[in-house]
Amino acid sequence: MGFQRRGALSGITDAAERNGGLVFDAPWQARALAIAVTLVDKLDLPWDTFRRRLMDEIGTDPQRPYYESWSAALESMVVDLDLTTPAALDAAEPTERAPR
Amino acid sequence: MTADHHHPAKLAPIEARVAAIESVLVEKGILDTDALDQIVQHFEDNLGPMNGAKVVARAWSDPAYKERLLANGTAAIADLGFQGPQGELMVVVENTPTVHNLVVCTLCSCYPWPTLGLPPKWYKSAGLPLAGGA
Repeated sequence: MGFQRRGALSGITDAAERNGGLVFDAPWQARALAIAVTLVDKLDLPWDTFRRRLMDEIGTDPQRPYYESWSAALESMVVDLDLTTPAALDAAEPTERAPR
Repeated sequence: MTADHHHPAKLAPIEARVAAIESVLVEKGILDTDALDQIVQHFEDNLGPMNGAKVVARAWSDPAYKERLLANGTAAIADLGFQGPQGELMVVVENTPTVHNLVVCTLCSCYPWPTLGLPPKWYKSAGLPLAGGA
C-alpha cells in the first residue's frame, strides 16, 4: 500500500528495536528526520535552525506525537526559508520511489 | 504489495505532508531521494549504543583517553570516528561511588546520535522530565 519503501526504510524499524525500543512507527518518520538533517547540512545552517522550531512545536502541544511535531517544525522551516508555501505543499505530488 | 502506478493508494495526511515536503525540495534540486535513503541507512547501520560502548570501553582501558574524554568529549569521541549531526557538543561525566549522573530529555531533539543512535520513544515522553525529578 502506498509507495514501495523497501530496503533502507523498512530495515530502520528492526534497527530501532535493537537500539532499545522502537524509534520510528513508520517510514515517513525516518524520512522526516532524514529531510531535516540533510536540508540543514545542504544549506549550511546550524542545527538550531530546526531545533528551536521543534522546541516551539512541542511546546505548543506536548502531547502531540513526537514526529508530528517534527514534521510541523520541518514544514515551518521550509516555509520560513522561502523554499515553498503551504499552498504548494497542498498541491504537491509525492515523489515516486522505485521499488527496491 | 506494490504500488499501482495508475492508482496510488491514499497516504495518511501526515505521511502525505512529509512526502510533499520531500517532493518540493527534490524538484528544486535541493534534495535527492537516494541521498535521503543513504542517511536513513547510515542511521540504521552506523549509529547506535554500540558506539558509545566502544568509547566507554576505551576510557576504562586507557587512562589517558579517559582524561581527554572528560576534558573534551566532542574531540575524544571524534577520535574514535564517532561524529556528525547531534555530536557537535558532547559532554561526558563520570559516575563515582558517591555521584550518580542522570540525563533528562528536554524534548528538543538533543540526543547524542553518534554514540547512542536515535532516542527511543520513552526518552521523548512528556512525563520523563517529571520522573527524573521525582
